[in-house]
Amino acid sequence: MIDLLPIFKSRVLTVTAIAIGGLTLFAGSSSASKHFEKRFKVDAHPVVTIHNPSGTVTVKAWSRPEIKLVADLQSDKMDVDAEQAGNRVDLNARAISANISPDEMRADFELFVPEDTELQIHDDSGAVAVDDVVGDMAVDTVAAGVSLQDAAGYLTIRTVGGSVQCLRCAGKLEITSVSGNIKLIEMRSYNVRAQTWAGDMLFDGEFLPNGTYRLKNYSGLIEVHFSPADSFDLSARSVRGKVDNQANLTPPPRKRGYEPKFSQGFVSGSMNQGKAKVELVSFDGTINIHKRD
Amino acid sequence: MAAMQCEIFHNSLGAWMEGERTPEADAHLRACSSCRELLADLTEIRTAGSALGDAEPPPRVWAAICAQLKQENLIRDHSWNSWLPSFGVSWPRPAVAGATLAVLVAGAFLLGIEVRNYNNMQLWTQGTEADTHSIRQNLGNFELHEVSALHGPNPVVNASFQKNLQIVDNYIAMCEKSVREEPDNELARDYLYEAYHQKADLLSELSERGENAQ
Repeated sequence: MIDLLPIFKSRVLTVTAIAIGGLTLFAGSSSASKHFEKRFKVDAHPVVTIHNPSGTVTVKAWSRPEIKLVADLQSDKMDVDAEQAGNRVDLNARAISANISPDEMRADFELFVPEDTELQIHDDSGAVAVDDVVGDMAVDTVAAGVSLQDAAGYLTIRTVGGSVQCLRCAGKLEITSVSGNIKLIEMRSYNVRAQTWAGDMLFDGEFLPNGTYRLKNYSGLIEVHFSPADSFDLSARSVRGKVDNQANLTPPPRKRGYEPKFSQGFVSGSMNQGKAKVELVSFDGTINIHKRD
Repeated sequence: MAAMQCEIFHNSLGAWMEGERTPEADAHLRACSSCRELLADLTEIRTAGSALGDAEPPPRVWAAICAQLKQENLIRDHSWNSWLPSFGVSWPRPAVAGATLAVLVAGAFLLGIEVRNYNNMQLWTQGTEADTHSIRQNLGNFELHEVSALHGPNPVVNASFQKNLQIVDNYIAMCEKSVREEPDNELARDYLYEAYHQKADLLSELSERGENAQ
């Protein structure tokens, strides 16, 4: 059973970890650490690309027509290329010395951007947190976890081992990961496609009319929470695992002769009018379709 | 009768993909949902390949995969391979190489499905292990030659890649076992294909990082 509480706790922990990391950086740093700030005037719908091999990337929306970067670099062997080309801003943390240790590669970015900014973020290890940005977004990480809050637009997130959590996200969402957990809370997305091979998945949000929601993993738990008033067509299948369904499914009204199907590893049918489409697929994992508490 | 029509259509697919469309093939396509799905898949693969731009696998990778597919009669000299290599003429970046490899893996599976359709399930059953083994071998060779020597500067990233490659390898092995046990289980085959695709993605990303680091 996936507990909802940890998603809120984890954000607090993330901030705490960043703060502790910052204090550690401060306490243990020599004069070699660098602080970098820069502002860029932009028009509507700016595009920001961020490449950071190691460290945190925190992006927050504000109401000003400008972008502000605050970067803390662990060592003077790192530098930040911050360039503007029209309405696009490119931020790139890079090593300027071949003789650099992994610890010295760390760079922590904090950005303030207009809320309609389009973001392209590459962060290998560390953490990515984006709040209140409603432009399209592409986040690509290896081990870094990704946390989006109140985001919208077309959101594409790809991680190798990093976990992903979205809180109150809207628009279209595509998530792929190899082993990261995926948590989608209080969602208002009309299109969700999320896949992880070895991670757990949680969806707790609205099933919008005509929306499509597809969650897929190989092993691990897929858990979906619904309310009695929700309206969706459901297909849940686990090849080797089991499906635990609490939804009161009926034959879809537009499919004559169709009967809801139930077995240990397969459930399908309609909840209310079946306005949304929900597809849950696992190979070896458990799928829970449970009433929201 | 229907199976014969499908076989004839399959034999003309290479020409169809090149724009040579006979009324008979067109009529069959309208009536046969299975062939429509096959054609849609192949078109999607070709579109994905075209989207890669001026990209082509390095000769050794293509030669190995192509030779394997020919050996297993999954492609023929004057039909399939007349459009499969049209993915491009050069391979500027390993990432593109990996993506192309993924497309080729997809193609190999779809071609395998074609063989299954117009021959019989037994052939697919017998051929599954050999087919997947050869694809796994190609991916393994790619991994061995292109990736094993790479060591990025970030140990966290290296560890993550290694761990997740191992995860995908384990899933490939489990999916292959499932397909062997249940060759008509389409979902198991889908998972197997996706596992190979995932591995190709990981390898291409690793390879790209290696080149960027040089």
